Amino acid sequence: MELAITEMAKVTGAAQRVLEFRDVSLSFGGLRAIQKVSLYVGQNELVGLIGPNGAGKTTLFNMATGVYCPDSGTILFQGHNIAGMPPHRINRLGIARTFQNIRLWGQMTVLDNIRAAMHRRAQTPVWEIVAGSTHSARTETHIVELARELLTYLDLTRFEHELARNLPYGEQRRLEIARALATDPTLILLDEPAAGMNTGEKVRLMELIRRLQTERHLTVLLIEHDMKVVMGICERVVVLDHGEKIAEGRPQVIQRDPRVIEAYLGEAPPTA
Amino acid sequence: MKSPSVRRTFLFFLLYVALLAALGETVIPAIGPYYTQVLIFIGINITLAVSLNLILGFAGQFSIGHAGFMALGAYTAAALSFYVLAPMVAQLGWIGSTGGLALSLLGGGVAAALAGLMVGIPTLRLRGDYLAIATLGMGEIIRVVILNTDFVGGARGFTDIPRWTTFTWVFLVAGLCILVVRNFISSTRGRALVAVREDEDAAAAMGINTTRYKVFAFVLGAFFAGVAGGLQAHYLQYLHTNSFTFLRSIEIIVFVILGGGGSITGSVIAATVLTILPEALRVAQSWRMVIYSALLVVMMLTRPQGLMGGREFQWSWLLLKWRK
Repeated sequence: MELAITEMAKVTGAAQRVLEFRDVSLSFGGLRAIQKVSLYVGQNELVGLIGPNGAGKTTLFNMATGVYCPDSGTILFQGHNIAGMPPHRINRLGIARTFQNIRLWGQMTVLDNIRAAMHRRAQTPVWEIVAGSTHSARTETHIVELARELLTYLDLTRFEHELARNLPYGEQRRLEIARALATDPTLILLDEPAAGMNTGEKVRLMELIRRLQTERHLTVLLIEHDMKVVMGICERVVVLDHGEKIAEGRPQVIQRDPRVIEAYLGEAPPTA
Repeated sequence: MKSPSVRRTFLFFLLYVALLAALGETVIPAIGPYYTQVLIFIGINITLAVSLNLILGFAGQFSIGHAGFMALGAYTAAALSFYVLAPMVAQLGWIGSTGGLALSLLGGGVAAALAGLMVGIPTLRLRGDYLAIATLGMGEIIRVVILNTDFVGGARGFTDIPRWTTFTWVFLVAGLCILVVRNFISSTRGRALVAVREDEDAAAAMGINTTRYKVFAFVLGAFFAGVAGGLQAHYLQYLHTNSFTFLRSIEIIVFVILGGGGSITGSVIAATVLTILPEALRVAQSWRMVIYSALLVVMMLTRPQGLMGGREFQWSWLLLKWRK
């Protein structure tokens, strides 16, 4: 019974909202990229953000992570307005992201990519690091241990000492997720995590994203073009087109929504 | 030394200084003033190259103002010892000159670091070409201001600086600079600095305060450039702003790029080789700089990633070679 109530709460949005856009708009010069978009992601929810190319999905991510500041509207994260905050501060509050066009630190090893993202755990004063104190050495060992744990979790251990740019494509995408997890977020924004993956990789990715939600209790918002992935894992889907929200609901419902079909395939030809 | 214990590093460094002092007492008098001078320039250039590598190679910020920081450090250290410290320590013999040098170098380093902080905060928000131009301007401003300051000799140059710099001091500073940069870079925070070089936007998205890390690298690099300037001042006993034009900055950039950006070993090797090379080429007389430049071109064509290509020397390499 209780489970049913939380399920209901999720669907109606009554559960605690982790991230919420309220009437957010953004223009680039004359182009209105986002127009009065409102959407939310509930606690521990797994929401999909879909829409044709240029609909403004990544722009929404960029606003939620401080890359762009909205012209109007508010973006609430756990009740705080984060619109216009610098990216590093937003990440410290608990939002991590991956990038559509993979942006790993290519010339660094896989392990160092994770270590660098764990920098907040290294609160050793600089003079101690520089003097090589035992305290600093202990902290470093601890961070390396944590980083290795994370690599094991994402099945990347065998690439530990590889340079990030030399990894196969699918592994690079997983490393992006690992790096985002290393910052210890409560909300993770995944920008087309399945892009360029083969079917087997996609299945593993879907499983991974579900595990993030269930085992790590993360809230997930993901942009994805692959409808199998979206329909397979998302509990709720929000559809954007030309910077506006055109539909929202359960994946099965969204699939049959005429406005969504129109946005993707164009207007139905007039029946003669 | 209570916890946090730095005993191991401290002992290691003490051993290093003892070794330098022993060399300074035995080898240096034996090789004569010319070779000593070459060695001292090598040490100063290593310090400059490694400190610029922190900014250019590890933090990825293209700064053409290193000679400016060096000038500021040199003149501050020289003014400190000439006006304040030299009269104070005149009666104290070698203890006086050692203490005097330590204090004046610290003063020079701090002055350069402060300048780095003041310049870094506004300019490090710029990227790429813009930063290069801003730092170039900064270096020239420092030089021209000094040139017009009568207090430190102005256009006549600053003379009669006490000769306090020794072989031991130069390599003590070089060793300290290498140790500091190496320890920082291999730490988690150092990795975060390299992440800023690799992709600044991704670094910010992972919670790294990119401006702060860049300013930190800039300030630390400027500090060691200032100290290196102080060492040069107390060795040559004469300073003129002509030694700190942007060509000097370019020379240091060449050390870093030729050695391989992001490799401390590379910077040390390049600074050493490129200090010896013009000396060794003296036999070629007027063709000296032509050959030097041609060699630079050849090296850059054959190894564009630099001598070390971002890698570091590791003891395990020697062990592997030796086992085979």
